[in-house]
Amino acid sequence: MVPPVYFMVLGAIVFLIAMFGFLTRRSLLQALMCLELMTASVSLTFIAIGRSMPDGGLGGMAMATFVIVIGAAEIGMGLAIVMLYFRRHGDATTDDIDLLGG
Amino acid sequence: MTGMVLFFAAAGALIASSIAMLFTRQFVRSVVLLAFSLILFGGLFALLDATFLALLQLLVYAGATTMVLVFVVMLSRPKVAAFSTLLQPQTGLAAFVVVAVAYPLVSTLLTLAGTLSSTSQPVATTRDLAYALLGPYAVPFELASVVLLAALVGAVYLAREAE
Amino acid sequence: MTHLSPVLAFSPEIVLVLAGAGVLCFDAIWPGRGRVERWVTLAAMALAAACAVLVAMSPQLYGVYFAGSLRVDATTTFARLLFMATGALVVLSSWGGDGEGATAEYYGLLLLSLLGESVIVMSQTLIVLFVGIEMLALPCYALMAMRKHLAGAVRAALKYFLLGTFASIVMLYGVALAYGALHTISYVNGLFPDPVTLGAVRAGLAMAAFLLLFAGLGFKATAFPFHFWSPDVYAGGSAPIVAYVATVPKVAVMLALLRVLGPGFAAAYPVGRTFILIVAVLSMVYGNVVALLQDDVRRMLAYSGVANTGYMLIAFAVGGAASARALMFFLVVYAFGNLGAFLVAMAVGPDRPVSLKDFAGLAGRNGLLAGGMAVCLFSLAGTPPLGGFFGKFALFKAAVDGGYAWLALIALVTTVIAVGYYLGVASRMYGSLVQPEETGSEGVASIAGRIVVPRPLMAAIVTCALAAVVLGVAGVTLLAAAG
Repeated sequence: MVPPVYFMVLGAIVFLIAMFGFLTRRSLLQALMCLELMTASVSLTFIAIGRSMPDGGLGGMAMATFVIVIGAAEIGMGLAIVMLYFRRHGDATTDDIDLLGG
Repeated sequence: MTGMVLFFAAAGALIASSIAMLFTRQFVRSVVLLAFSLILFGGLFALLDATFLALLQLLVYAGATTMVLVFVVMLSRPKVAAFSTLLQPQTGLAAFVVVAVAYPLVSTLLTLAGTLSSTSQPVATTRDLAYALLGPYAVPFELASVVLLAALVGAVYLAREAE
Repeated sequence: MTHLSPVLAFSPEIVLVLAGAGVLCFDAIWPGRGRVERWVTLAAMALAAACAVLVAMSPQLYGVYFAGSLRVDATTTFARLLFMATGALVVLSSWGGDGEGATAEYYGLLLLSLLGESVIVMSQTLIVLFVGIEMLALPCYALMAMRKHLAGAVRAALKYFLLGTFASIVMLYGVALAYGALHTISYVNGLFPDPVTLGAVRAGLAMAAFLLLFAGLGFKATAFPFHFWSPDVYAGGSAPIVAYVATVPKVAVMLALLRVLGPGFAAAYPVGRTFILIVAVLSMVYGNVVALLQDDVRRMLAYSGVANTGYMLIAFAVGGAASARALMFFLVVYAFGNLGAFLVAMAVGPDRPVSLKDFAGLAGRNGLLAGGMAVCLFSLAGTPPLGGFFGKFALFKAAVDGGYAWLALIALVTTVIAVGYYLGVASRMYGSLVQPEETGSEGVASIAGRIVVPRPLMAAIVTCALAAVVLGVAGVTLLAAAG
């Protein structure tokens, strides 16, 4: 069996790639896609950590279920807002939003 | 041994497709790469013996949300120009943040792995998961349905065309 | 405990979810313009508050429910009553007109988001906390964008959504690390056990988890390095929702943090305490200094919110039961003062940025409005004899008693800075006649006209101001009782 720590590190790497993408991409849709990737990496981390717990991964799996369900709700809401924004502006960059500006 | 080979193949493909997703200039290609990454995530869940979650991942993420993403683009047709520019001035800052987080995060995980037991326990089955979701996790399970209701109502209201 | 007691203990939440779903169904069958829904919503909030009081009157209902998922106790009652009161004020402020108050979805989502607030405070495991935070946040994203014709509101909603979701995911990563380090996500007895029992390695991991959790929660509470979204969102968003988002989630998150950390965290984990101290000091200093430089009143209030988060974090750095009580009093005062100030800004300039100029001569144009603003601002500033003074006094006293005299001193100095910009607004409201250069060409028309405020909005503002006064009186009594 593959040691769970491998999965944890893989989850961290993808999480960081997606985080970098979220902070740098100009396309709103790509920002949303990065959020999806980050959510998936967190699920992976939950399952991998849970796998080395005495309950045989039950806790990690249960929490990953909630991450997946709530993550899907978030993406649905996000797409609705992005679509509304497209309709108003017909453009799709994060420049107007100025993510890190105060 | 087979597990190791599968893991490294999936890991390499996942990292490659995630990076490619960020740097591709075409939206459709980007979505396909995302779907591919999410499918690989499903495979990784299966490697960790979480078969139910692997299926859930495929259905919800690789299936549903990717499809909705494509629909949004087809319905609202954002300008192609939005997908052509690659880097913006925040890149330096973002790179700094990511590198600053990367080292402590990975070293934390490695330390964490050391504290967790390495003996293989009996695997929790989907049946166990079902009992857990309606047992100790019943409250978040029920509340998640309210969250979904709120998200549904909000998204429908926002996406509705006529005022 | 009988098998019915969970139903009774959670009756306020059951009322909220039934009313939220009911309002949505009602509109689907009899589409209206929110005329019935607003009454149903107010009635549901009143009923939920009444249920909360009834629960509080039968203490045998207090306890931990559903396999250690939710806790009903005095803090829960406190939060329920405060949330219902602020929720009702938000409903009043969007009464009538053709804003978001004219749609049933507004009321349904508002009720569901209030349910999320309640869940955040009651939760006893990190996963319930996360679900609660999302139940609060998702309706807020939608509410913020509800007036689709306002470009600023949609942009604000988009920014709020992207960064809010990002923060949630970072917090989730913290939950995963906490699960790995502590082997549990339950905080029935506080999340972080004594580091001695945990061992050095796992205590270190617990700190990493704490940092991520704190970053995620700090985002919702607009603590200093995580506040950067708030000025834009507050300035651009739809007014009643901004008033809601700027006030209530912060209260909920602070109460949840009290439960997660427990009274002993600061003493047991010096690293965590140092981190909270740094964030608190930076929030107080940065928030107040930058607020001084703002011309847009909503931005000013956003930075003032950052500073107030700094004051709240004092309670966590000091730790102990006394500072927790001080924090709770401060939260009530802050909620009414902040809500009132945002509602006045909304009354002065609905759907547009409100600059300090708009407040020139407000006393002559609508005396009641100016009076309400003055009371709320002086309460936020901490002027005796209003509630804000006693809130801050209690927090600073807890800091001094806990051996943090220097922290109390910094808080005091930044409070003086804060009085500066609050006074700036007040002097414009009452002294514009001697500052004719302030009234620019486009300002003349609005200066001349009397501001007409819808009665429900005015009632909400007056309630906030009265609350500040009443809390002041209550503060005197409490102080006298404490000797």
